[in-house]
Amino acid sequence: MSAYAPEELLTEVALGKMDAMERFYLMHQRTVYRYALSRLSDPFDAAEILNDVMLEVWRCAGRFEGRSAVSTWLLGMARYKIIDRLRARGRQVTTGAEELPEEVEDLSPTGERVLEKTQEDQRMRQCIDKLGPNHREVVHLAFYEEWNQEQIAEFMQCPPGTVKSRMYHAKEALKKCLERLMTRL
Amino acid sequence: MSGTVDDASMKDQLPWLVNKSLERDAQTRLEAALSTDPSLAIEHEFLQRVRDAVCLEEGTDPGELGWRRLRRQIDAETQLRSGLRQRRTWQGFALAASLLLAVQVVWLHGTAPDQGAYEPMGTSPAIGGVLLQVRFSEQARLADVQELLQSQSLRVEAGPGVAGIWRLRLQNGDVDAVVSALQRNKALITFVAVEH
Repeated sequence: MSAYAPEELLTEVALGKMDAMERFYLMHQRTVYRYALSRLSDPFDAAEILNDVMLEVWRCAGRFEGRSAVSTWLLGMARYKIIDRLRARGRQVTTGAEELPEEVEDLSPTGERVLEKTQEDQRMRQCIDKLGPNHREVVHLAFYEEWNQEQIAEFMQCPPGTVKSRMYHAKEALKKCLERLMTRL
Repeated sequence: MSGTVDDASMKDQLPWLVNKSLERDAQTRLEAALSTDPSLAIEHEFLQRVRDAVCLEEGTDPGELGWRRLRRQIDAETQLRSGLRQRRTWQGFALAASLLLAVQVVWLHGTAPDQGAYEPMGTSPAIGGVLLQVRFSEQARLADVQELLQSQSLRVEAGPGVAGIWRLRLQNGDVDAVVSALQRNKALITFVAVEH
């Protein structure tokens, strides 16, 4: 789409160049949006977070110091905005303490259907959406962003052991959720 | 015992094998174990399904629509900033003009006696009809200004004019003393000059 590296685009954005901002937005909007969606499970809220993050990029592009990847910087901003939003609504926020897998709600039976891969994916997605926020975040960062354990730990400001533990609990909760769905088929 | 620990440790490493973030050695070791340990292979397959579902494109991201919305906000913000900048520029001009006026007044005031102009006899200048030019601080409150004017027997004659200059009439009192009092009150007065 563009020959520019994200860092170069940010330099242009810091100079107030709108075309650079547009390229930057289109280059990174999906990453930020998908991350926000993974935490908030609401497309409208996720779009709001994306908008807020990109507005901040426009205002403060010059503050990017290159100490992390651009996508990490963006997701860091998104993370704080999500935490603020959840706090404002009185919902659970990341505490750093280990959380237990949240109880998975019963879902309506889907009837007799052939188990195609797409449907399996859909069911898995349903179960992922039912995970607690910390578990969903670890799963998203590992499998969508493809970050390693240390990167995730640094980003979530917790020890690598906590990442490992959250991944384990997320996995167990997903298995339990899928089992329930399968027994209803 | 150690076999169990290794098995648990390998299972813990599987997500990082799936997302390809493991170091080469650990990756090789784990891949070898996958071919010999069916439970590990099942776990690996499960995590691959999790990854596939996470990467599944569901719904639409804001894309172009999101950009247009952001663009409108940026434009509105830019306009606001530009307006503020223009206001600041105008304020700069006003300050420069008032400084110029002040220099002019001070120069006139300072040089007038040397030019042998007429001066009434007595220790203090004329009382009652003297006009002062004053500029009030932007932070000055009306009540404070009124109190100051009353305490110095000053009355507003006209204003504010260019650069926020007010003309005050000294009705009663010593001009030099009043001017000094005004100059000392920097919280309210930013400029004082006697009008000739």
